[in-house]
Amino acid sequence: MGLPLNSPPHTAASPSDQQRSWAVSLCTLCAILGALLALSFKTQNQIRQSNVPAANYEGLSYEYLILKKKATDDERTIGSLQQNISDLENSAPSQNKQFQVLTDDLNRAKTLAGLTAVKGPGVTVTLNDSKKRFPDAPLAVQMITIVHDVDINQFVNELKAAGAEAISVNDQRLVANSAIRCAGPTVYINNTPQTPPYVIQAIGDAKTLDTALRLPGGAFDQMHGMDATMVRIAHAEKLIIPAYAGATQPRYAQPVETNARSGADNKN
Amino acid sequence: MIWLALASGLIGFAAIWFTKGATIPIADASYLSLAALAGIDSLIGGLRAGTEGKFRGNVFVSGFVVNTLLAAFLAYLGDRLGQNLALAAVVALGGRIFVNLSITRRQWLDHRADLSSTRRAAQLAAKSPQQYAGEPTMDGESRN
Repeated sequence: MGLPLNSPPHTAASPSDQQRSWAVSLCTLCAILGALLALSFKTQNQIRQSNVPAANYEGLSYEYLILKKKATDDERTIGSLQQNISDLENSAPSQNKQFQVLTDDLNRAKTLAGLTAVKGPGVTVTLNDSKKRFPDAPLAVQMITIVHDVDINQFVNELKAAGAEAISVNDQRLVANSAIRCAGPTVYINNTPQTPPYVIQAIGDAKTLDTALRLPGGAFDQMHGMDATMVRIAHAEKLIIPAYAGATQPRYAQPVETNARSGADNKN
Repeated sequence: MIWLALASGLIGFAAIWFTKGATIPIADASYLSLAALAGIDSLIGGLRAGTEGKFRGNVFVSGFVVNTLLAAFLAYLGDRLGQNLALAAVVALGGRIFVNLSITRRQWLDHRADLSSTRRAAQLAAKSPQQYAGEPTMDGESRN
């Protein structure tokens, strides 16, 4: 590698030869090393400048706060856009009879789908973690003193079976694709974290709902038996359940165009 | 000569640093850093060999090339295997850099001490030639 350039045939005995060959190789490789280092520094700089989240928790939590803020803003945007849609829908038809029918149909569908806020009589179920502590009890018993996603699901299912027409948990309207899911110390409802107490509101015949909830062996029965303070059922003359605030535009599901479908009057 | 090496290193550095398109994917950055570390290690190994008078160009060049590629390849292989082999390379190379540097430093200091003692012996010999002529024990003097 450039060794014979400026030296007579290499002999290890002569120190000056040795020195010269050393110098040439050294310079060549120093240049290569310099290039390597430059490339490396440049790439590291690039990493620092691009917004790859750092592996430290401060950075990540900061990112999290920003994203959370953005999600709230987006939710507000969705709300205002949906308001716009309903305004437009309401402003257009009114004089035309056919339009009126369609609008009524649409409103009914939207109410059923949970896209409008609704009011009416019903029950409020409040679930909370037990204050009692059983330090000596097995883990399974200790787990029961905490309200889990399964418990909320059981109550909601019971309310649906008993004919509840609109249900919300902590003001999150439950719609067809709502999920109630455990995520560490919180329960995610409609993909928003919720903490105890969980307030389930359901519109329907209060008496029927109440009776259905209190069936022996049911969710209420079990929880009440564990600790009476964990669950409370209250009747309400007038409940207001908010509209679903999440996104409603489907990304994957496409309607199938068939004439044989029932309910074809609401075709789009 | 040190300055010559540093200058060529700087030239290589500047050549890449000021070239706009000379970058690599961020995913491969860690391999590149390791290759650079292996290069530094080889360079310092060469420095040590040079001060010991055992420098051999072909060993140096092949060592530089092979170690650089091997370090990067080991890191890549480690990523594929799910083992942090890059850490092993960093520990080995880093340790060797320290060892070689300390040995080089010692030898350089010894070398300086030898030089100064030789000079002193020559001065003394010039003053009183009959006393120091053919006296081979410079070592004894240098360890005062």
